Amino acid sequence: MLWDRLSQLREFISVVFCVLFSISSLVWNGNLVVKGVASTQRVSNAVSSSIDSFGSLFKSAYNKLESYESVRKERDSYAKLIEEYKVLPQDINSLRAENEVLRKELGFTPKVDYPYIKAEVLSIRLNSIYRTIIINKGKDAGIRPYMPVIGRAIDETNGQVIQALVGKVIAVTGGSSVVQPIINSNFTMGVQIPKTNFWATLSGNSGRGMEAVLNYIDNGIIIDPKLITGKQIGPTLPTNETSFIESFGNLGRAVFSSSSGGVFPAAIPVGIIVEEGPRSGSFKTAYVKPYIRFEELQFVTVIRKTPDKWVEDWPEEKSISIENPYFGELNFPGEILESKEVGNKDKKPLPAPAPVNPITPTPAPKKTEAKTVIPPNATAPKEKKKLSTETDDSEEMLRKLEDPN
Amino acid sequence: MILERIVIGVGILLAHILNGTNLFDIGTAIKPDFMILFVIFFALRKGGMSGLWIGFIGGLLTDAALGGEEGLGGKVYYKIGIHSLSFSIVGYLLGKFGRISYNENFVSISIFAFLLTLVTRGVTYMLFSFFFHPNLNYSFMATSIYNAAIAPLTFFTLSWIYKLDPTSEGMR
Repeated sequence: MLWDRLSQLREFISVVFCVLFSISSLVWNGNLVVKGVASTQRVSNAVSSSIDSFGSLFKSAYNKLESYESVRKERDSYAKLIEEYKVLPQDINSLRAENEVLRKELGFTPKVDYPYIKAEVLSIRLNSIYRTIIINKGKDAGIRPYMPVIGRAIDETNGQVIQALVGKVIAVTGGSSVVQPIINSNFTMGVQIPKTNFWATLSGNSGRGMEAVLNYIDNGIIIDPKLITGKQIGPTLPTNETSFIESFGNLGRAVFSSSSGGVFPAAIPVGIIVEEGPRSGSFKTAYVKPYIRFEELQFVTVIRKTPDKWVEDWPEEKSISIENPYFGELNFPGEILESKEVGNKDKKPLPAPAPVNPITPTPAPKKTEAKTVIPPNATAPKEKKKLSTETDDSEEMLRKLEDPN
Repeated sequence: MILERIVIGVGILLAHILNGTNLFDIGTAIKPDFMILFVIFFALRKGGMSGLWIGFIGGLLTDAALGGEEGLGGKVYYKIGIHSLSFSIVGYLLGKFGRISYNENFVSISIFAFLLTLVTRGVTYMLFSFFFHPNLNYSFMATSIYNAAIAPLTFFTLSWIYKLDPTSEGMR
């Protein structure tokens, strides 16, 4: 009887189960079933990579024919590099010694060369809603979350082979790791152009397939000189003049990691600025084409650098709490008092302001937190009061002039 | 009955594995979504319940492939439930209500594949935005067009493997 009833409701129960299971997995993220389902990832990634390597026999043959030009460039750059390297050992020891001395003199922290691990890419999922790269080394090889990942790329501007940023490790298992590429929608990092005042935040959530976006670029920095006004000013310049103007912009320039977040070491090449983006409030934005061609990535290098100590040990009391945003509305004490007065039925005159000694400096507030609330003894109400007194006096004088008796 | 389910299960696994490979890439990361095609095929041929369960299992595998992310305190956060919900809903509704308007020909298959890929990815995007954050990089059109282009061949292959000819007895 019950079985018959259940059979009749089979469809309804199935729909409810699927919907409830999915929603509960999203809300209660760390339950055992979720972990069990997630663990199937390793098996499928291993099989996918096997198929990839089998298919790449055919695909790479075609790609190699197609990319003959890039291979030739690569070979030339390697040959050039070898020539340069032959000269380098003569200078490197003396420079290293000099650098050590200068660092000690200037009190800089000693430069650290991080150890690294080479890993093979198992799977690249760029078409999914959360872009990830799976690599074949994990906890057993010493990889930990938040370690930076770099890969070999060719700088198209000069044809040189460079080690550019791929992303960072976000999860590890015994024999594999999940890498969050810089074009992942949840990726952010600090970037800069060395020796300039160009600092920005790079985000993978650009809305463009294989590009990242730079946010919070200072308004005064020129990215695309043609977009300063949006209209041409004056006569059309000859070609050499146009290139002179373009030299002020930052299009085509490379951006590097800034190490400001404590995760990535400084000066890792990230990509090239290709276009100025729409303004975001008072800041500019720009699009960056990463050096790494993610769809062709086969091997990566994991830098064994854990986040800087200060990132993990930053004390809570040193955190800055901004109660009012910088560009938000400010509540001046005068306005607060006035609004209180309006609300108050018994309207009483404002108390006379306390005399302020102009020589005595105002004592600094004890709390160092960056709060934009102005203390009640600030000068604003006093000035307001003074202004109103001046207005009263001038009215009085006018009245006397009009009516001398 | 059990053998049939095992064969369908193997098909789901194969679709999932093919989604993880780069064999079918065009240009920069334009890929088809074989799992959606698989769900659409079974929803149209076998009805709502098949669409629901194949969508659910295929969606769980797709969610598993998104991987975890270590957050504060070393806790790993997963994204299980997004695709399982969107695939199962679309599979069920298509099998329940969409079969009436479906005719077996190249044009119809391509249109169905295009529209349903678009809808499924739209639902997935909305769920992801609601539970996590808006993802501006998620591809809608390119994948839908790719799926529409390969759908007739995929349907023909699947019909041959699973012996699910649309004109056969008991299909409708």
